[in-house]
Amino acid sequence: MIPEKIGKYTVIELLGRGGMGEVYLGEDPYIGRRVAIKMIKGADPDARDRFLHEARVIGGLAHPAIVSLIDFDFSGDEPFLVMELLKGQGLDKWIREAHTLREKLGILEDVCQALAFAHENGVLHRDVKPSNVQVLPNGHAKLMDFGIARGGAARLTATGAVMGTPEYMAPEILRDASYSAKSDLYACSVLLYEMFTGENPFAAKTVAATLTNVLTHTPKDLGSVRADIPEALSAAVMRCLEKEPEARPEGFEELLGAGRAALAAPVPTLAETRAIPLERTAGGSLGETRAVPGQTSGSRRWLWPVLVVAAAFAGWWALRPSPPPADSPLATPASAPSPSPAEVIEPPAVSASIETTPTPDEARSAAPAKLPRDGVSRRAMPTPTRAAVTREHEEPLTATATGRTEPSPAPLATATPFSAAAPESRAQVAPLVAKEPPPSARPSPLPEAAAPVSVPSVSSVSPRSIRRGSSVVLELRGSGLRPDMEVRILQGRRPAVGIRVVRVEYVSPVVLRVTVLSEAELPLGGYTLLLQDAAGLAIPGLQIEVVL
Amino acid sequence: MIGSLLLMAALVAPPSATSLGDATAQAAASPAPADARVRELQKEIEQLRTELRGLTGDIEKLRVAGDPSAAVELAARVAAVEARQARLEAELVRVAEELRQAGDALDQVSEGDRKRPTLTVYGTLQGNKYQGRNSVLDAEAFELVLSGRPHPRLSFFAEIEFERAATVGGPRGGEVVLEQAYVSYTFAQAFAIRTGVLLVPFGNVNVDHFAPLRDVVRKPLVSYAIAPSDWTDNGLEITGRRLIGTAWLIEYEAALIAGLDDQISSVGTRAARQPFGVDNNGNKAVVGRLALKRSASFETGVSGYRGRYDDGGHLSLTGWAADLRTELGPLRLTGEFDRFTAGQVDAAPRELLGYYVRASLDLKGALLRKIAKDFEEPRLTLVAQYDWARIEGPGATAGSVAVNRETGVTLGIAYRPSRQWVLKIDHETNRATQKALDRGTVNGWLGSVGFVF
Repeated sequence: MIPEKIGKYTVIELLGRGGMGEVYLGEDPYIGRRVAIKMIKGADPDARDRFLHEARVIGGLAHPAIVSLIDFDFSGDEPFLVMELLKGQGLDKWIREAHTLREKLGILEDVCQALAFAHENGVLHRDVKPSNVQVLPNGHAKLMDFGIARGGAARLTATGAVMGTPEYMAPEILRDASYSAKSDLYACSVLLYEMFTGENPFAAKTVAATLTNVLTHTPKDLGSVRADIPEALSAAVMRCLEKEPEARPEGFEELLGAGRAALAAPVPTLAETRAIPLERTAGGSLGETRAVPGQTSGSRRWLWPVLVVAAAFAGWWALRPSPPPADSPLATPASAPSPSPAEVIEPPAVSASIETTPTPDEARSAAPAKLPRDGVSRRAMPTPTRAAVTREHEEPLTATATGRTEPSPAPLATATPFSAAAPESRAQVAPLVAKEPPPSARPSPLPEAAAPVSVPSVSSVSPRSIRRGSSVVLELRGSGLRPDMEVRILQGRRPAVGIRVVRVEYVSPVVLRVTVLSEAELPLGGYTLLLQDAAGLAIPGLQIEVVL
Repeated sequence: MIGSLLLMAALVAPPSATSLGDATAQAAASPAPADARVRELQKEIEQLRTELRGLTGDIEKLRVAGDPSAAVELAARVAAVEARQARLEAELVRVAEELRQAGDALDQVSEGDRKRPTLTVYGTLQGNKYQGRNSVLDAEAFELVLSGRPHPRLSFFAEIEFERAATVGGPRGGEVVLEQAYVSYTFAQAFAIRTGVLLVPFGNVNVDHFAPLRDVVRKPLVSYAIAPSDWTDNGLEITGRRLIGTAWLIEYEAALIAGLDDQISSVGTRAARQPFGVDNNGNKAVVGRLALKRSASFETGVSGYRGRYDDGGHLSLTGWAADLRTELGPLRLTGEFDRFTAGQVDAAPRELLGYYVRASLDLKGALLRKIAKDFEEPRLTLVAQYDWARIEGPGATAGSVAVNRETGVTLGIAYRPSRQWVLKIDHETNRATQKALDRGTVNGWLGSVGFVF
């Protein structure tokens, strides 16, 4: 039987039922937001612990490619999780449909970014598989179900009970039940292999046969199964599928770099210019790049940058999910607010490298190496603008300017102990920072995690009063306002009856116009106008008054 | 991990009580101390973050130097940071619980507030000096307005007027009138039923009769002599509205009331308003208004009235009105035209008609803001109004026709530091032919202070 209410949430329908529990579609009665409510069955202490653990894990991971936790509470004795309601479909179903390589590369980007972010925050997912990835209608993906995730840097390599899905389990888990970040990387690569080829490389009719395959079978090279997969991407996936964790890459950079290079490959200007790394110098300009004289025809030198920018802009325009506001995290860095000095250290001269673009081959080989260690900060980078290119240089150059890797103050993830090898790994990466990767044609859909969150605020509303029985256009002024904001009117903390928002018109990041209609029967007095963004962040309310 | 703490802090922090704008709620359960604690925790987390940065740097040094003693020291520091982190986590859980409880308390208060009636008051003190007459200070009205919605579909609205500092049973005059008192049952947005003492839906002055909201001191002549504002009556009304798109709104009101009686005369209809609970005939009058609105900037309406006014219930009184209010930038134009025709008998008038047009220009300058310190939207309005009314009826001799006509020109200003308080100063020039419909031929100065709270 479906409960009418779970906690404060009104239950609308049952979305799904599994061995451990049920997931309901619910609605927050106060603000009307639809949510997914996950509830476990029975009172098995282990299950409850895992459930609470999942809440803590997701609650600690704020990333656009990871499902958001809204609430955790108890309904009677039963704990329940309230999560953002994700539209779209599971990747397991999505895989069965026809999709372009570009779309699949987008999924690669999102899943790898999500896992990289989780790892940098000391969380291993431990059950990466297509059904735990939701593909949203806008083509982006979100990672879900951290039910058996492990948190804490100290436990990243801890052993525990073998849990997971056989087809995606790394061999070392089966051998000695040891799980590390590389096990997630392996599972992710199995997922990617399955996504690109349509078949799981290890699946068999029985669990035993599947496990045997995992331990012994080496899948065919991805590029040989799918001819349109670029060589670098195929190599990256296959490296991540190595049986020995030591043979796999340290993080997701290689996969991400190969994916981005694959996306950028069609840009026709890549062959015309290239960048080469400078020699390491005492000044520490290891990451600098410079244009090679003579590589570009002098008479057309001006043309190629223009074409690159134009083509990339066209790609971005065609693929963008929706037009972001100027100050949105989705906006291009050129239009985004300038980072504060604390977030970005002024880079050394990079203007030379801005003008250069590597050849496709160079891009494929160089892109992974160029990427910074944190898998998050890249998300907003590949936007094809001059400002974007400039920012892309900032982290690598910062890392090398002092001769060693400096923890960036903003991305906390880099300061979080990941493993004992992490600093060394970063140091190893630094010398490889050599080239500017080509700007990706795919838009960067997610905000740079390390960037400051633009918290919307409203400072005034005019007029403040609404005549009873009339409609009025209220002009809200503030900062960081976005087109996706919802406006609600409350009486106390509850939705007001008889006064409603008819229209919300986004004018600019500082002005929002809200048409409000008051019923003729509405009691006079004060009401609260509340703004809420898509993530559920509520802005402190504004007082409005219904008057004679 | 610290990031997760920060996020957790953000998750557990609901909209602050101040954002709810509910003083009662704040008094009942203010989460302010909890907010302060969250801020303290965030500060500590920030310190931890700094410390972790330092540790990361030390790890790097240790890696380079390979110093085992430093490793031991570092391990101790890491342990200390972890202990503090655990303490912060526990503290955050406690704070979250406190905030949840505070939220529950606010919910209860909110629910209580919803059912509680709200009280609004408005009133006017008027002074005037007409040529040849004594100056007068008139506490014209003080009104209590109660409104509430004890149930999402049931609401009430009541307006009690104390006119001219009324005293009950005393010699000093005045009156206490229940100008409006009705309860509404809303079936749907397009259909609700009101029962009780209703404001008769005829013309924009009567529908919007709140004196402090007018730009001039006195109500227009047409709404005094032709349509007897403030015109209220016992009755049953249906009302509803429909939104067209997001900007336009169409609204109707139709009421069954006792109606006007045979006291309509050659100077107007004011005396024809019947006492409440009394009807001079068995016939009920039907009155209604259909309005089209666009936000707060435009409204036009047509009204109709039909009923029998004589004691026998044989003679009909029919009326209609058209009204308009529109804003063109700072200029606001308002007007209403009313016309009544009556089945004639004895001295009853045959036709009553009139109109007013008003132009109001809102000024909102820096100087005004200087004068109106501490007010957000001060406004100075320059007003010009023209009134015209004409009542045609039987003359003194059989078969003759008498026409009483009056016109008026009003020029004035209205100063509003906010919409809650207004000072109005007008000059009137009135001219009457035959009998005076209101002031007669007289010029005068008027002033008033009105308020709405």
